[in-house]
Amino acid sequence: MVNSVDEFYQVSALLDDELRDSEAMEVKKKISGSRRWKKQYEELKALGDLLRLWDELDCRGIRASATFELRLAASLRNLRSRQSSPIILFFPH
Amino acid sequence: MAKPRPLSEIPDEELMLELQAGREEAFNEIVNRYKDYSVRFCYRFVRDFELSEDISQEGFIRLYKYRDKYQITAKFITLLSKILMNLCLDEFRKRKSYSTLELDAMPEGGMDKLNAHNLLSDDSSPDPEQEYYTKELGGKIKQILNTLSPRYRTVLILRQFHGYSYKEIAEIMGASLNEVKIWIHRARNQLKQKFNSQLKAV
Repeated sequence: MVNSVDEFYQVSALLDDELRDSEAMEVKKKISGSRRWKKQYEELKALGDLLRLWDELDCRGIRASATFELRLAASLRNLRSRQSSPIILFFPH
Repeated sequence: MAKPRPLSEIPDEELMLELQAGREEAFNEIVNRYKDYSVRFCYRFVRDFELSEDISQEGFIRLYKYRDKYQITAKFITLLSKILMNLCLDEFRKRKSYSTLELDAMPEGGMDKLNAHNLLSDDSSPDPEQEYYTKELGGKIKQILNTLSPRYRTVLILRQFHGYSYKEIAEIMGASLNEVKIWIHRARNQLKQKFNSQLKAV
């Protein structure tokens, strides 16, 4: 008999697309044939969707700022001057 | 004499070798390719834009310092992610907590109101209601993630937000595939229970 922990692990791995084809088929069969498995699947899927979509919204527009490369170039100049290296770094704009 | 290959045509791993060989512009190309990825990667850990930029800067400096030791043993992006992840975890340790939002009670309507599909109903014009619920939901999620151990939090961020496979997560975290599987399922189980108990409390 499969306990609820195994059930959870298998559904979780299915949602992550980390099961072999035959295992995935078996879990899908269990989900369609059992209310308990189906509930587990739906709850986990809803939680995953919620997290993913919130993340999508929260990360909208997150990218390096216009001064990112300039700041980095300055840090690298400092680093190289400490290391007394003659390398010249150039960031194109 | 043959002209050097344009940097834009060189794969990431070979760019590191070019840098090793003294072609400094290769590093500019790496930064150009990965600056947005790096900031977003860190943001997903710390959820603070300025901090994520600072950590990304430090990540590139570390990468530059590491150039002479670099060997192609894994994908470049795995190495960069590993550096960034370690820096983010250092930040967690320094701060102990990365939850910065004030957390109010759940809005009227509970989970129904916090349905992600409602949040994304109008992509082009985020209205005040949408922003309010995004903030509410974000606060709740951050609060719950914050209660997980750094290891569980990390696997969830890498899996759930970055979409890395278990194998890639194992490489980034320097763990075995089995360990990652166990951590992901345990982390998700804890997350689910905490979500349920939070909602019951409301």
